[in-house]
Amino acid sequence: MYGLKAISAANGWLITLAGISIVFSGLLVLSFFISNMEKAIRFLDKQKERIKHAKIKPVPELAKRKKKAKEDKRAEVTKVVWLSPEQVEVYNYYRWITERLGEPFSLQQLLEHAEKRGIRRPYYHLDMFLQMRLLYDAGGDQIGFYRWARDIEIELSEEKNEN
Amino acid sequence: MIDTRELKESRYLEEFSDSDLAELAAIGTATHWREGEIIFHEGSPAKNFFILKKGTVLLCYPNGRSLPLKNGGHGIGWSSLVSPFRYTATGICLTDATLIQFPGTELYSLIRMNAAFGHKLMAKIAKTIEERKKYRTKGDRQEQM
Repeated sequence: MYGLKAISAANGWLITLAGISIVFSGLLVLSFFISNMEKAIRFLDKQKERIKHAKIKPVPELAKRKKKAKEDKRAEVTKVVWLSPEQVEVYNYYRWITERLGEPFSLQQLLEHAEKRGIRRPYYHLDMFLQMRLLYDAGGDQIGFYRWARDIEIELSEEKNEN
Repeated sequence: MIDTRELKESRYLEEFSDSDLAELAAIGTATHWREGEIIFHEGSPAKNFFILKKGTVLLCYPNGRSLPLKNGGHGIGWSSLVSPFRYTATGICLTDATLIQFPGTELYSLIRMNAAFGHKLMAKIAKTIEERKKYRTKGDRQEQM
């Protein structure tokens, strides 16, 4: 037996139909998932914001202790550096990269990794951090390799001090 | 050709006389570089000597060390005057930068024509080489990521 007869005899048409329906159902589920992903992300973001800004009345004693701890921390650091939101983002990225590189690190390697990860204006930000003395030369035998300044606290500034 | 006054402003050339500066100005060109642009690569033939006028240039040595040079008063590319005439570092602009460029061959002819000028310039170059020597020594950091 050959051709269409053979296909019919072996339930070929039914199998084909089942295959097509499985593939299309899969695609349908996938497209539904992708089309609703934006809504799901928006929903999650809203929840995050809500948690962040939830008005929880602080217990007076706890609030006092927190304030004191913050003031103590401030007293420990000698300098507060104000960075724009973008600079803070890049700073955190750079800290993350250099944690993996280990201190003291090479600025070349830092730039290479920053470029690979698509960080915006890696050269400009590196220059800014050098100017602000957030980074300093390790000196001695390790001259030309860099470390992060320890006695510095990063604060978020609302205004953008970008060029 | 650039204006002699531009060279007078540079700390790198403060010991040079007006006639020296006039000769240098005749072969100098102001070049403008964008943030992230590479001025020269380590190991490539050193054809030009530069004086940094504005901006920040990061010299990256093959051992992983780097030296940021900011604003005026820095000579970059001394290899264009010293054998084997190959750059010892890669020069990257961290910001938009302006550099005054001097072709090595023309600078060399100037040195041969004017011994006093040559002596002053080579003394300056020797000082720069000495200052940056510690950056060229083998590094102890390895590629970790």
